[in-house]
Amino acid sequence: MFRFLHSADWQLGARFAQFGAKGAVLRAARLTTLRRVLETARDQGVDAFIIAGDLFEDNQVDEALVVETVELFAAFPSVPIFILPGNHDPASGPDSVWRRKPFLKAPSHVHVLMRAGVTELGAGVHLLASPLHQKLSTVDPSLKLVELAATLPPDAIAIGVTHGAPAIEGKHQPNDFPIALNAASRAGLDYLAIGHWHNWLADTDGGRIVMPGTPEPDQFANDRCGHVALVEIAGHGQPPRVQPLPVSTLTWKALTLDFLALEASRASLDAELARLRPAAARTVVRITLAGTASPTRLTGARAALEEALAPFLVSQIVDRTRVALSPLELDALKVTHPILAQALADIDRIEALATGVTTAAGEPSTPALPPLTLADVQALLTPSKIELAALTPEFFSQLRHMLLQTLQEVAS
Amino acid sequence: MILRAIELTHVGPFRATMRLGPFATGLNVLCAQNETGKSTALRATARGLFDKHTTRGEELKALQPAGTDLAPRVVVEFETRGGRFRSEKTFLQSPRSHLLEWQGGAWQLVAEADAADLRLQDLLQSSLPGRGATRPEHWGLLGFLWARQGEPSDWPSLADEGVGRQIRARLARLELDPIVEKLSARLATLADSIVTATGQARAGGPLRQADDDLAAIEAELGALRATRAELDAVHQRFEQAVSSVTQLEKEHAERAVAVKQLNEQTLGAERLRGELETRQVEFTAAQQRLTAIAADATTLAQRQGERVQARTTLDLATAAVQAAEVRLLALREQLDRQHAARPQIEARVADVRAALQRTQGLLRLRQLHASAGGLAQHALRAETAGAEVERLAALKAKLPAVTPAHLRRIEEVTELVRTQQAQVQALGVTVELTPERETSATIHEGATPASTPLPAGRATRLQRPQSIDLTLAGWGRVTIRSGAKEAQALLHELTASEAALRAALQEAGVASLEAGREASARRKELESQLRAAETALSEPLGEHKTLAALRTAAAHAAHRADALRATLQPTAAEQDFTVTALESDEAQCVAALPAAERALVAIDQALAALRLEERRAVEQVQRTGTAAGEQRARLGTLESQVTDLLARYPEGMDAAKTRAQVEFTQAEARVAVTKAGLPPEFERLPERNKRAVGALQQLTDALQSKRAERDGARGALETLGGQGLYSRETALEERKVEATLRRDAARTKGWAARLARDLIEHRKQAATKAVLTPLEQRLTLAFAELTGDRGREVFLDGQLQIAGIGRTRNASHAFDLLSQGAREQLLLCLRIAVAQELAVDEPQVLILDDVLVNTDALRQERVLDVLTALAPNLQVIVLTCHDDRYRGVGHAVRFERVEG
Repeated sequence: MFRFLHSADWQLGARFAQFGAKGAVLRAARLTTLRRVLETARDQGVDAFIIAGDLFEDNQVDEALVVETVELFAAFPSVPIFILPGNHDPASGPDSVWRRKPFLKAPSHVHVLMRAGVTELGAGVHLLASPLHQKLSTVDPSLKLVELAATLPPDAIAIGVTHGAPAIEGKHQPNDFPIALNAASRAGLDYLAIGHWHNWLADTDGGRIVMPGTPEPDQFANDRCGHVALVEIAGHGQPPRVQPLPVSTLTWKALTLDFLALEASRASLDAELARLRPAAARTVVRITLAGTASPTRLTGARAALEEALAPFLVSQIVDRTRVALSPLELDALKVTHPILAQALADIDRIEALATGVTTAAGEPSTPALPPLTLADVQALLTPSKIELAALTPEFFSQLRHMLLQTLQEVAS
Repeated sequence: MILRAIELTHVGPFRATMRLGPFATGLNVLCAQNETGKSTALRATARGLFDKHTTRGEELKALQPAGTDLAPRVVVEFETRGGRFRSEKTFLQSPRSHLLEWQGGAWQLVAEADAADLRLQDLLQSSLPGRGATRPEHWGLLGFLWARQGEPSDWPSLADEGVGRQIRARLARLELDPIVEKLSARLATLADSIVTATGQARAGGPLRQADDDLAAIEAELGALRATRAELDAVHQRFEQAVSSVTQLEKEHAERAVAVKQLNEQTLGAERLRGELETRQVEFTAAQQRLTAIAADATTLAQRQGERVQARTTLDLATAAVQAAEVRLLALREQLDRQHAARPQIEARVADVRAALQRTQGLLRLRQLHASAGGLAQHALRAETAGAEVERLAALKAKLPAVTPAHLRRIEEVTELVRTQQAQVQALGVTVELTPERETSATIHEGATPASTPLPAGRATRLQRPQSIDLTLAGWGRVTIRSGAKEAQALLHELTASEAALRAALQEAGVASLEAGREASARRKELESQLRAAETALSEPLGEHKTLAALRTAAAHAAHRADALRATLQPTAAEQDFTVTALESDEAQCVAALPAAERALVAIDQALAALRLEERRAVEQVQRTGTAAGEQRARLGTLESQVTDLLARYPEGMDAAKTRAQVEFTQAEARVAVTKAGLPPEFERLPERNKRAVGALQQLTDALQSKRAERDGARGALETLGGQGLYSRETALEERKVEATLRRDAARTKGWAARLARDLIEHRKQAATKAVLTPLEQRLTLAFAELTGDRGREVFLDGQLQIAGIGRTRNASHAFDLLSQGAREQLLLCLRIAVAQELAVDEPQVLILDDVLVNTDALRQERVLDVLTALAPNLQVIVLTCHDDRYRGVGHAVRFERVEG
């Protein structure tokens, strides 16, 4: 029985621009996860730990990260580690991360599979590697494995490793290293360890081609990630037993608060946040605010959410709401502050001119006064060098929000 | 607001308390003479209403009675929509302020001090300046409804944020919404803190900060991306270099093999070529041997023929030698005989010559003796003539050296002196003294007086240029003076001329003109005698230039005669011979000498001919001997050659020739075989091999260069690859996102605040514009009433300023271009129109302080018509000094002193 861990797409040093300075926290979590996987490998006594590409996000990652990674590997000498260069960190030449000193002087149990070839893992088990040397290619990298497999003894356990996109119709790009869906059986492999996509995929070629996905989530949309594959192969020709091991450090969760159904949405959101709160220090949360809200409600909701999100490691509030007054509020405004009611109508008018979207709330408060013409709007915007075309729905939402919130402040 | 009454204490001309009022609704006229305090009272009223009681400054001090420190006190009773009030303010000294309200039939204190001021400000909707006294623009509505004396055509600006806005709002019948005003102000503040009015990011604001941060990040990113681009470029170069190296290495290997093969082929060809050359040398040698043997055979035949011919020629030469030797012997015998006869003939010639030479010597001696005697006589004569010449020359040398030029100069100057003396004499003083007895006169002239004898009875004339100072013996001293000035000048010229004469005489060495002439004549005479003596000397001198030369020649002739005599040593007989005898002997010798010499010449010619013959005979002997020797040597040579040629081929000439032919044929065959073994175009193989080696070297160089390029790129990649560019870019991108969010948020906030505020203001202005037309119509109507011209309209701008008047808005005359009178009347109409508009909501006071000074009587009447017709809730207060204009009009108001 040959047992090994298969992972890929660690993307160490990855960029999380949308989180600004919090990106460093997310990057650090990946090393924590890597340590955890190595501990698992050691504790499970696996025969090998195979990384099927994209250990690093880029060849030009920081030297400190490379040193830390190799030191991490060195801390687990009992785990034979086999690293395949992927499309993010291809073995492209002297500038490759694999040519750096830490890897050149790495301990003997750390193997970087720089060239296509066969490595004997012991006891009739062979690892056939087809590393990537560039970032893009239309050539199936598993084709080399066919040639390599031809050199093996007939009863040897053949484990292939390469990096690319399964050639599933409509799901891969032609230059994304397309891997034939029968690549394992075509080469006579018992198991083909691949990496590239970040979600778990293990049902290809009779379960012999496995893509474990990224061990640490990096997008809210990736809901089948955070695993490594524990693989057991009893002998040549026998189907592998593949078990996904959850290893991620962080949980990414995207939630919504919709003002159209505020009560129900808030209840659901509160419940979800309560569920996540015990692991808040290891959770990344994004809450999208949607629907139409009055400034008061919106302000209140934001304040409550900011308080609720405070314990979470990384949190985001994405405001997609449209600030608007209720008909009753609008009528009251027309009476108390007719100028403001007219200004709100003008804002609707300008938004319609800028975005082409006409809102239901665009009824002017003073019918006696004609609506703004495009010339009026240009005359208003030009002195301040505001371009009409640059104004977005979010801008108008904020404009309404500012107007009404300031009104509330000065009136109180 | 309307005024009800005013009380002034310690104000201007009012030291006591003066009361003005009560004022009625409608038209009030305060008519008083100039300087009675009308305008002062109204100014004090404004101070009392609008200035804080603690205000100090020139405006307040101007209220004090002239030359006093009295505290001005102003009490104003007025009425607003809120009620009836009384303001009491004392300024400068112990300032106080009280505000009272009429409640329950009595004045009740509402507020005092600053609170009273603030309440009053609120009631009147006025404002305060930052410091100092208020100005009309702070006076609220009254600032616009008060046409002040001297400022009738001024109209305060309505553009300010305080009162102007309130006025506009009131005129537009737009209720001021303080919430919206605050909102607008806050939005403006917010917008201004982020963006400027022109849309630029505010310095120090969040947008500028974010922009700056973004710019800095972009700059860093740009540099980083440039490095990444460089890395990509280096990577590309590296891959190209690797590819090139691989290709070059392959080509190099292929070429190296080709070069090796070509080299081996070339070496083989070279070896065969060397062998061919050897074969060709052997062939050539065989060919040469064959040719040599053939040549030797031919030569041998020739030499043997020549040997026979040489033997015949040698025999003939030997016979010729013998014949020449016989002839030579005969000639030598004949020559010996001629040699023996010649000495006798030669002795005869010598004898004749010696006799001739002796005779000629004796004749020469006689001639030398005669010549020496002649020269001695000439020398004696020359000595005598030379002595005469020397004597005459000595006499000449003693004479003064007066040249004709000297003489001419002396004559000219003497003539000038005479002329000048005559002129002096003509101009100067002349005294003729004729004493009866002989006496003398002493003339005082110069340092030493000169005495002049005066003969008796004869006139002695004394003449001087200017004066004569003399002492007459027996009479005394007499001084005679002339007054002529020319005499003095002439005397100076005469003195100069006399000095010139003295200088000329001194130069010529004579004392006077006469002495000069005498010396000149004597000199000419001596020169004539000298020339004659020199002529006498030249004859004996002859060809000799000097007497010494003549003497030398005479001595030389004597010496030569003596020398010849010593040489000849003539005998006594010879000395006795006459010259004729000697000449006869000489003639005999001369006649005998040619015959003797001819005999000698004849024998010499015979000897020469014999010697020539002998030489020719010797030459003949030698020639024939040489020819015989040559023939003998040639014969020997031929014999030797024949022997040598025969010796070369011991086996015999024919056998040797046959063997050489065989060897030639064999060598020719070997050359043909070797040539056949050479590869085609073997001559070009070395050049091809050289080219191939060169190409291989070039390829090696290119390979080396590419390897260096590859290694360089590898080094650069290793360096650049280790810089963590992606991670650095990641950190910057994350910072950029944050900065972008900040920038976008700030810009959105700034733009939103600006747009919201502008929309509010836009709507407010639109509302104001909506009432412009009715106001313009009211203004036009009032102006038409005033001017009687109903064809013109008055137009206002958005700030409620008068834009102009005319038929249409576009064809209107600008307000500033109108006449002073028209502007006064137009602003009066505007004030009336504004007051009417405002009076709809609240009674208003319109104060006209002597404003129609530029208005003619007709318009004055029309003004009164308009003012009289104003609505009852409008209070008009007219201040004037022209009581005739307002007589019988409105409610008359006057100052009244308040007692106690």
